[in-house]
Amino acid sequence: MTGRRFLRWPDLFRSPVGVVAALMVGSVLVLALIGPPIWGHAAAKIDISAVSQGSTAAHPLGTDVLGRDILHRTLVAARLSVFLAVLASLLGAGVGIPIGVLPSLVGRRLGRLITSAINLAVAFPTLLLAIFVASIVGLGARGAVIGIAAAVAPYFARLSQTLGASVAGADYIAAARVLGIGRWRLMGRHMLPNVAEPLLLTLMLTMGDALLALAGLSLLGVGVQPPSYDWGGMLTEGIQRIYVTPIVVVGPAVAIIFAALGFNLLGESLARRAARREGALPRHLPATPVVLPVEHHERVDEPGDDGHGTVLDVRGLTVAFPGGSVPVRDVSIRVEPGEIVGIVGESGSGKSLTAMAIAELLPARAQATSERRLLFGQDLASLGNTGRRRLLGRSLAIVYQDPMASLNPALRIDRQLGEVAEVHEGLSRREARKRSVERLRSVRIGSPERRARNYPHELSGGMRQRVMIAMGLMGTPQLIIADEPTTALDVTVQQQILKLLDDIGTSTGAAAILISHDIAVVSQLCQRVLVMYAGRVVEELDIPTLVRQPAHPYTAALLASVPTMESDRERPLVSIPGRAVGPFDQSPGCPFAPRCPAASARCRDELPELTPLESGHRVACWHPNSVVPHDGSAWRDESMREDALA
Amino acid sequence: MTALETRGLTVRFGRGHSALVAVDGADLTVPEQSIVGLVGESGSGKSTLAKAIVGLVPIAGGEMLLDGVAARRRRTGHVGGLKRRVQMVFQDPFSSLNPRMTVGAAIGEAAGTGRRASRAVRASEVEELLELVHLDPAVMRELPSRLSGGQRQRVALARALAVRPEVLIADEITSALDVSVQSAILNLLRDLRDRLGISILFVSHNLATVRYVSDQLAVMYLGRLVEAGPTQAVVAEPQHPYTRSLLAAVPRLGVSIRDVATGTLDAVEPPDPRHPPSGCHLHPRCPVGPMVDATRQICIESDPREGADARLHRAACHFAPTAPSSDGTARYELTEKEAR
Repeated sequence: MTGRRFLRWPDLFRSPVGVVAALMVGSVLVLALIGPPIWGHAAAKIDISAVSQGSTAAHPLGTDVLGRDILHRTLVAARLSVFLAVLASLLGAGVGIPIGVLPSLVGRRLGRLITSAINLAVAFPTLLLAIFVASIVGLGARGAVIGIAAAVAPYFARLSQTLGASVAGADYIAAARVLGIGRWRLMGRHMLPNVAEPLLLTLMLTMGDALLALAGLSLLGVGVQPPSYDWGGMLTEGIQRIYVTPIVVVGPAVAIIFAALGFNLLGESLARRAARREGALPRHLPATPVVLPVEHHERVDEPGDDGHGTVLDVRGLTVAFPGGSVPVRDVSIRVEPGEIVGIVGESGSGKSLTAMAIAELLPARAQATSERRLLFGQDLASLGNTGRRRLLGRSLAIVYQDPMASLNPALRIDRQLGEVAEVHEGLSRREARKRSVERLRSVRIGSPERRARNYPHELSGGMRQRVMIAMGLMGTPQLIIADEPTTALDVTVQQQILKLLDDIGTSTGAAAILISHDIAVVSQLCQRVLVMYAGRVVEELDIPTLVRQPAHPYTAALLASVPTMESDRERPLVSIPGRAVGPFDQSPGCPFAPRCPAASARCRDELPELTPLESGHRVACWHPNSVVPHDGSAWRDESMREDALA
Repeated sequence: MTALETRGLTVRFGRGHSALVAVDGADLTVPEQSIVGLVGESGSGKSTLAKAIVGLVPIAGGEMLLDGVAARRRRTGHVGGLKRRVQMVFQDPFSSLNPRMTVGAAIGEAAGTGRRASRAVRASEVEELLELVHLDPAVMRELPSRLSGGQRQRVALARALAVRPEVLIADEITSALDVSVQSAILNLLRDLRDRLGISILFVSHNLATVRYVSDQLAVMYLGRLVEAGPTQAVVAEPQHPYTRSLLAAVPRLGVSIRDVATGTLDAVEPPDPRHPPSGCHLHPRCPVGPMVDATRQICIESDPREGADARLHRAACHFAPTAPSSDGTARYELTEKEAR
C-alpha cells in the first residue's frame, strides 16, 4: 500500500541518458536470464584442436586454454557476475540499513555507540575491507559476496542513519510513538518508506560498483574459483596471455564495463529525476496559458481619477506564473495619504503577492501586468529602472512576518539600519549610526545605544519586529507595507506593534497597507479593508460596515467563523464547507460559488464585478447581503460534512 | 471525577547553569468529560507540558495521575504505559501524517495496535472513525498529500481516537489551519466531548479560541501555572494580573487600536526563561507588583504559588483576593456548572 510513487519509470524515459541506461541494464539482465540455457553447452565444449587461440572465424574472441569459446563463455558468465553483484549489494544494504536506522529508535546512549561504530567502519578503505573479509570467510563466490557486502554495508548504514535522523524529528514519528507502535514497525512502516528513494538510488549505484569489485576480487584470486567462472575470473585467465593474444581479454572487459556503466548511469538518471521532482511544478498543466478576460470597465465611484494626490493607485493588477498559475487576478487598490488599508484573506488568496507586486519584489518567474500603477502620482511603468528603484527604495518600507529571516544574522543592528541610509541618502557612516539610534528610540526600544550594538539573535521576537520597523523608517517612507507583521508574535507584543504602527502613521503621515489573515487585527488598525478570495478582491468596505453589515457571503462567513471573546459558547461556529479554488482555476463564474449557500446558476457562469453598493463599499457578488452575517444557519447544516476530495 | 491530573510536574532541559526549567511544578487537573484550555505565550511551557503528559519528553519531577492512579515512569524519565489511554494531536497536519501511508492504513494501524483483527473488521472501524470526524469514508484510499489542511487534521484526530483514549491532548491543532476551516475543527472537538465522553486538554496561544472551546481554563507563564478555573469565571473575573493582560491584548473586532488601553506588560521585555526572575516570575513586568508599588517586596522574595489553593482560581499572585472559605467554595461550584 505504501511507496507506490517513489520512482516513476515513465519519467525516466524522457531523458536520452535514462533510455540508454535502461536499455543497457535491461540487456544485461536479459542476457543473465537467457545466456546459460542458450550458450551453456557451447561455452562448456572443450576443443583440444583450438587451444589458446586468438581471433578466428570460428572463435571471434578467441579460446581459452582448454579451447572453449570465449564469446560464449562471456555471454554465459553474465548470469553469475550479475547475480553475485546484485546479491552482494542487497546483502550489504540489508545489513547496513537496519543498523543505520537503529540509532533513531533506541535510547540515546546505545544510539551514540552504534553511530560511532558506523563512523569507524566507514573509515576503512572499501576494497581492503572486502579482501580482508573475503579471505577470512574463505576463497570462492561466497567469500567474495560476503566480503563486498561487508564493505558496502557501512555506507548504507551511514546514509540511512543520516536520512533516518532527518525523518525521526517529524511529527508523524512522534504520533506513532504516542500510539504505542513497536520499534520494528516504526522502522518498517514509518521511517524506511520515507527514506527509501535515496536508498534505492544508492543501491543501483552500488550494484555497478559491486560488479567492478567482484571482478577485482576474482582478478586477485579471492573471487569465484574454477570450474565456476565469472567475468572477473575470465579476465584473470586472459591477463596471463595478454601479450600473446590480447583479444581474449576484450570479451570479459567489455562486458564488465558495459554492465557497470549501465547500472551507474541508471542510478544517476534516477537520482536526477528524483531531484528534479522536488519542488517541481504541478504535473498536469494546462497546455495553454490561462487567458483571463480583461474588461476595461468604467469605474464610476472614484474621485480624482487621474490618480494624482493618492499615495498608491493600482488598477487591474494580475500576477501570473508560467504554467498557467494566476494567483492574483484583476486587483485594484488605492491608498490615500495617511490612510491605513487592510488586505485580509486566507492562505492562497493572493494578498502577499499583491503587496510584493506593488513593491516590485516578485520572483523573477512571475509576470505582473496592470492597467495602471501610480505611486505618489508617478507612473511606475513609464519610469526607467533606476528611477523606479530610487522611488521605491526611498519612499516604500516593508515589514515582513518573520523578522529573524529578514535581518542579516551576521550584522549588528546599527550596521543593518545604517546601510539603508548610506545607500539611499548618501549619509556618512557616523551620521547613519546616529540616525539608526534615533530611529530605534522612535520605535520605543529601551537603551537604543546599547541595543544598536546587538546582533539580531540577541533580541526578542517583538524587539526584532521593532528593529524591522525602524529599518523601514530609516528613509522617509510615505508608504509602509506590513505583511503579517504580528503573526509570529505573542498577543501582548502584537498589541504593542499595532500601536506602534498606528503612532508612526499619525506622526509621520505615512500611509500603510496591512496584510493579515486575522480580520480582527485588520479591523483594529485600518480604516478600510479589501477582502481577497482566490486572487480577487471580493469586497471593499470600511470598518463600521465590516462589523455591522458585510455584503459578500464570504466576508460574512469569515467573520462568523472566527471565535471572539464575545462568541456565544452555546452555539456551534459557522464553518465554510469545501476548499478554495486554486490559482489554476479557469471556471467562468464567481470563485466562491462552489462553497456559497446563496450561489445561483448565474454565479457559476458569470463573474461578478466589483461594483459599488454604497459610498465606499464595493462588492463582487450577484446576491449581496443574502446571508445574515451572524446567524449563518444556511452554513451550518452543510458545514457538518466537509466535501469530498477537491 | 478527574481523568487526568499532574502534581508538581517538572520538565528540565539541560544541566547546570544553562538548564531550562520549561515546566515548573505544574498542578493541572482535567476533569472527566470536559475540555480544559491551556493558554500562554510562546516559551510559557504549555506545549512541553502537553508533550510530557504523553511521554514524548522526560519528566524531571512530580507525577501524572490517570483516574487517580499514578502513571508509570520509565528509567529515562518518560511517562510510559498509557499508550491507549492518552493520545495527542499535533499542530501541523502536514507533518503529523506519514506521507507514504494512506489514510486508511494510518488509522487502521492505530486501531490495530496491540490486538488482532480481521481486515474487514478493521476497514469498518476505519470507516466509523472517519464518519466520527465528519469525513467521507472514501478518503480512506487517499494519501495525505491529496487532502486539505482541515481534512488532514480530521484524519489526525481520527487516528488518535482509534485507540479509544480517555484523554486527548490537542496541541495548537487549529493554528496551522485557515480560519474558515478552524471553526469546523473546534465544533468537532466539542461534539466529540459530548458524544464520546472524552476529556480534552486544548493547548493554544489564542485566548478567544480557548474561551470558545473549553470548560476550564488554565494560564501558564514562564513554566508556571498562574491561574486556573472555570472558563467563564476566569474570563469574566481574572484574578492574576498576567491573565488580565492577556485578556486585554486579544484583538477585538472593530475596536480601534487607539481606543485600547496601553498593555500593562509593554514596559519591559520578557525575561530570559533560563534565568527567570525570583519570587513571582512576573514581578519585573507586573502592573500591580513592585515596579509600581515599592512596598510589595514580597513579590520579589517569595513564590506566590504558596497558598494559591486558598485564592480564587488558584491564582499565583500574592495580591489576588482570597476566596472566602464559606461562600467562596459554593460560588466556585456554581460557576463551574454555569461553564458547562
